[in-house]
Order: sequence, then C-alpha cells, then structure tokens
Amino acid sequence: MLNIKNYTKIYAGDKKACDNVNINVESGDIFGFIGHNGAGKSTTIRAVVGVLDFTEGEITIDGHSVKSEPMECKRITAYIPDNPDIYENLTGIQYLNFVADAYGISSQDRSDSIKKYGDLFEITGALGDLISSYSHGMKQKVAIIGALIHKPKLLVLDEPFVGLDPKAAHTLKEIMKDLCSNGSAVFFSTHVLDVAEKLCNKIAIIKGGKIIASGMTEELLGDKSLEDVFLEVVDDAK
Amino acid sequence: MPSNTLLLIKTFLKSTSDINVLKFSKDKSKRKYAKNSLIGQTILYVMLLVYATLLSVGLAKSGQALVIPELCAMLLLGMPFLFTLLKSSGYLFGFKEYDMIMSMPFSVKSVIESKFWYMYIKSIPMYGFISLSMLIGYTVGGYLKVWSCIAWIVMTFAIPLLPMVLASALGALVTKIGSGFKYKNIARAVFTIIIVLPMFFINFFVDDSMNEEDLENMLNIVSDRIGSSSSYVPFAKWFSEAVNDGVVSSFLLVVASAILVYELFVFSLSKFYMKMNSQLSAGTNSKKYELTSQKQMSMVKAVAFKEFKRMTGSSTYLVNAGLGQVMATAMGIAMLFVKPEVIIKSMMHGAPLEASMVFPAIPILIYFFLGMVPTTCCSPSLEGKNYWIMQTLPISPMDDNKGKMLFNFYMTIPFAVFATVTASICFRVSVIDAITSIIALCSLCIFSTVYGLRCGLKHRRLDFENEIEIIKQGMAVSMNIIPHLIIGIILMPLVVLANYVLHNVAVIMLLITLIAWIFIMLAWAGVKKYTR
Repeated sequence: MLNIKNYTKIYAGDKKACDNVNINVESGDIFGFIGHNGAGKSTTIRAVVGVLDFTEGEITIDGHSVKSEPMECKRITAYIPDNPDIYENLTGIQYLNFVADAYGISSQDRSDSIKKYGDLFEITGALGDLISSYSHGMKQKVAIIGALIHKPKLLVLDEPFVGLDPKAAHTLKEIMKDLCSNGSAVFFSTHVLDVAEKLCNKIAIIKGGKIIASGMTEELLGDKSLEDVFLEVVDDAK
Repeated sequence: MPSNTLLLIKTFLKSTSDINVLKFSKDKSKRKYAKNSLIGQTILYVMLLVYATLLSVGLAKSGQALVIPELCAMLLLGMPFLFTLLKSSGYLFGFKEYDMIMSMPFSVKSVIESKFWYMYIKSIPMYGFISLSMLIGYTVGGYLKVWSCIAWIVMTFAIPLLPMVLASALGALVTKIGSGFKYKNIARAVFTIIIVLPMFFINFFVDDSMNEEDLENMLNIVSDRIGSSSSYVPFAKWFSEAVNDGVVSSFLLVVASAILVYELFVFSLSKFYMKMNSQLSAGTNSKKYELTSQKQMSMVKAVAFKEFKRMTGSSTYLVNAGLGQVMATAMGIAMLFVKPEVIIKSMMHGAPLEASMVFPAIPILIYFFLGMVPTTCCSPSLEGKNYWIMQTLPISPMDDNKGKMLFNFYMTIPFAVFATVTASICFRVSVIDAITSIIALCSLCIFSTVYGLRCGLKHRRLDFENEIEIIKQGMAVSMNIIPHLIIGIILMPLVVLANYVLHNVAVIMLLITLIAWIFIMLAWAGVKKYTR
C-alpha cells in the first residue's frame, strides 16, 4: 500500500533530515513509526502525504507515485497532523462537508459517516459550533472524522493520541483496527510505546533521519518490551 | 516606558521584521519575499516623497508656503485616523499570541501599550516621509527657521498619536459593542464601515464645492479650504502657529495633548481589555446540534464557500475586502435618487459636458471601488497554518484557484451589475449602452480577480504573525493596487474624452472589454505560472 524507497530529505544548508529511509506498509498493516523528537518522523510523514517535497528516493501509495501522481495518492489517503490546525471560522459540520466535497462524497454517504464517527467520538451535538470554540481534543476529533469520511485506503497519523481523552483514544484504536480488517493500512508516529506495542503489527524506529530497526513487531521484540528494544537500539546506534 | 513594554515591542518588531528574515533565514523563498517586501516599501516611500514634495513645492512656488504646515498637520491627522481605524481592532484584540503573552508576567497596560506602539512604529515611516516632503516645500518657500524645523520634526511624531489613539479608541468601542453580538466579526465590520464611509462623502462634498471655482483660483481656494478646515481642528492650528509664528505654547499644547490623550486611552482600555478579549474568544455555543441530511457541493463551490467563511470570520478582512462593495452599493442606490447633472457637476469639475458624454466613466468608477482589494489577492496567503488541508485533499491547485476566483466573482459581479443598472436608469442610456457597460464592468471585475490571484500566488506568504500583514500590508495587495490605480485614474478621463469624440458608448465599452480580456489572458498566464 505504502512504499518508501531510498527516501532522503535534505534541507537548506545540507542538513539531512532523513537519509535513505525504506519502509513498506501493506494492506491490513498497522505500522508504528517511532523515534526521538527531531528524528525525522514528521518529515517522513509530511512527504508521504504530499505536504513536503523531498530530495531523493520514491514514495508510492497503492502503486501511484506521490511526486508524479499526487492527486491519485491523495484520493485514497487521509492525514491527521499532530496539531490539528483546521479552519477555525467554519463550524464542525461545515468543515466536514468541505472535506466531503473535496473527496466527492455523496450526500447520503457523508451523512452516514459523519453520524457514525460523530456519535462514536461523542461530538455530533457540537458540530454546529464554530471550530474556534473547540478544545484541542475536539478539533482532533473533527480532524479524525474528516480523515475517515472517504474511507481511506491509507490512513497516516502524526501523534494521533495527543490531546484525546481515554475513551476517544480507545475509539480511535478500534477504528484503526477496523480499517485494517477491511483492507486499508495505517501508518502512524507515536511516542506512546505501550500503544505501539499492543496495536501495531509492524514497527520502524528512526534515529537521526535513519531507520535503525524495522520489522514485524513480534520478531523485533522477541520476549522484550518495546521500551527495552527502543532504548537498546537507540543506544547501539550512537 | 517600562522595560516589559519595551521588551514586547522589540519582540513584536523582530518577529515581523524582514531584516530579521534576511539576517537569519536560510530559506530562499522567505529571503526573496523579505527582499521584495523591503524593495516594495522603499518604492512606496519614494513615490510618496516625490508626490508630497511636488505638491508642497507647488504651493510654495505659488506663494502659499504658509499654508503648508496646516496641510501637513491635516494629513498627519486624517491619514493615520483612517488607516488605524481599518486595522486597530486586529492589532489590539484577539491576536493569536494573546494567551501566551497574557500568561507571562506582563501587565495588561504593558500589552496594550506594546501593541499600540508596535502599530505606531510600523506606520510612522509613511507619515514621516509625507511630513519631510512638506518640510522641503516649506523650505523652498523661504520660511524655514531653526525653531520651525525642530518643532516640525517633533510634532511629526506627536501629531499622528492623536488620530491613532482616537481611531484605536473607536476600534475598541466597535470591538466592545461587536463582541456582544452572535456574529461578532460581521458586527465589528459593519460598525467600522459605518464610521469609515462618511469620511469618503466628506471628501466628496469638499471636492464638490471646490470644483465650482475656476482653475486659476484653485490654489487660493486650496489655501482657504485648508485654513477653514483647520479652524475646526485645533491641533492643525497649533501646528501652524508653532511652525509659522514660533509660538512655543502651541508646540507644547500639541505634544501635551498627544501624551494626555494616549495615557487616557491606555488607562481606560486597560479596565476592559481582558473582558473584551475573553468575550471575543468565547465561542457562541448553539443548542445541541442535530445532524440532518447533508448536501453535496461541487469542489469549486466548496472552496468558494470556505473562502466566504474565512472572510466573514475576520472583521479586518471583511472591512478591507468589503468596503468597495458597500461604496458601490451606496453609489448605486444614490443614483436612483440623484439627477445625473449633479453627478456630472461633482465628477467633471463643472466642465460643460452632457450626461451621455460622462456615462462611460461610471462603470470605471464602480470598478475603482470593487477592484480595490480582490479577495484572490489575500486568500492564497490567508491559508496560513491551515495550508496542509488544501495540500492533502484531492483538490488540484487549479481547482483551488477556481474556487478562490468564484468567491471573488460572487463578491464583485452582483454589485457591478446592480450599480451599472441603476447608473443606466439614472443617465437614461439606451439598452445596448447599458448591456455593453455591464459586460465591460464585469470584464474589469474578472481582470481584477485574475490579476489579484496572480499577485496572491506570486507573493504567497503563509508564515504571517498577524493577518493584517497580508490584508493591508502584503506584497500581493501592494502589487495589485498599481493597475487598479492606472485604470481608475487614467481610464476614467480617457473614456469621457473618447465618448466626446466618438459619441458611441457601446463601441467604447466593447473596446474596454476587448482590452480587459487581453489583460485577463496575460494575468491568467501568470496564474498558471505561479500555481504549484
């Protein structure tokens, strides 16, 4: 579903933010992307969703190149950033309708999706209010519903659990599992190692822009916890 | 001034400084934008300097040098008042770093003072250049003494304080009243427009009475007019007395009034400041929302609707982008009640022209109002931190452009049609003349939309601190104003002249349409070039 091949991002001044990153996410995968602050997680994610241009390598989503076929990629992808900056002057429902219009979702389908996820996240009653009046968590919930409205084949999330209440975090985890059981894939970054350990079937650890460990969660961990493995590989990579 | 206030002012200035970007940024596009912005500002100031110098030297050469101080004082009072009124709310209230600053050990007074002085420091170079130009004319007139020069320079910095404080106080009042409404931003914009609009009509009536005189006496009339106007404005009179007659008490009155009014303003506002900001940031929670069936829109219409909500979500944006529409509508309504002869008298300096001769200038005048700030000029930059949404949605950049243009069409075409129809009724022109006028004006509106978008895309800036930097001071808005002024100032007399020779409104309008479409094509090529 998502194939990142030899991805390299060099910022001005020759600073390599990401160096020869290779990741393969298949249908049904919940892929956790772990690393320190500034390790290159968000830089990789932003390149995957077409927000950030990159220097070398290739990123494909369902066989479509992010660089040469961006629209094909965007139609099947959804992205939830770490800080949900969404249009504050729209009401929640106006924002969701805007996103649905962008994906060309029919009236019936969007109503069904908004109802389903709005109720799951217990935010339906607030959808008539301006987003500027929402708390961080409520904005995050609206951003998540917006991302799910077109039933994406690939869901990309950057630190999705920050700001969500425990129930909403649980709901999101269930939604991620549900999506994957229906053939979609989830690629997300997180600092919450417990969640990654329990939720993901694949994990990659990035440090200084380079992948230092990657593979099936079970194989990578063995009988250790993800925390132990993370600290071990990060120390080894020094 | 307390060190905390100075620290805040210094930080605000640094955070929006182009020089800071040039000094520290490694991002090429940011550096380019900063360079262009500095060049643009320099050009603007040089143009102002030349224009104001020519005006003052002209007055001095015709023996009217003594009136220059009063003219200078009137400009230093009028311009800051208008410009501050249009932006003070955005600077003083609901700015994005409000929570952060208020959570730090800064007093409310410090925050108000720092925001006010930041606004003052950003504006004073323009007023300073105008004043300096006037001083040059005064020197040419041979009246300059050492005392006059010192008083002039000191008062150049003191006088704008008064209108800026007054406009800020009015802005605060508008914000206070507006914050009580459900649709706060729309209410604030409406109240601001209500205050601003009469200023244009005052100008209209002053011009009107002056135009009744012949050209030879024009300079004497200007002199008399400034004299009589300043008699109602004591600050201008004091300025003149201090410079012309060396009256120290008048000089002290100007400086003391400025300080007193400023202190009074800061003291009063600090009593309500936090409450007002709280009211502004409080969401108006509706009753529990009930989900009903949702309607599907086309992608382009969805973008246009988003742009509409962006505009109504900001009183600064609404006032600046909507003022022209209000003026065009006011003009359209007025034409239903005013005879064309009255309009001709005010527009054409009493020249012996018939209504049918002058009619072609009317659509250009309407365009002058409607094309002032096309929303397409601001909207690419105003995506700001939300730009990721458009980047990740399957909306092609060209569809995004079309949505932005569609919104500006909604904002201009209906007003253009309404005002042209009422003008056609007022001037009793033929149906064919009316139709061709509508076509010509709509073409001009399309041009302003497309050219505005070209400027908006070319000078897109997403990392702004305050939206005023885009809406009022942005490079795109500045670049857009150039052809707008050319069309407004040169084309208007030109079409009247053409009609005087040709006696055919329809042909002239079709010619304008043709020329407009050539420039639309050129601007569209620019849009394609800068779309990424």
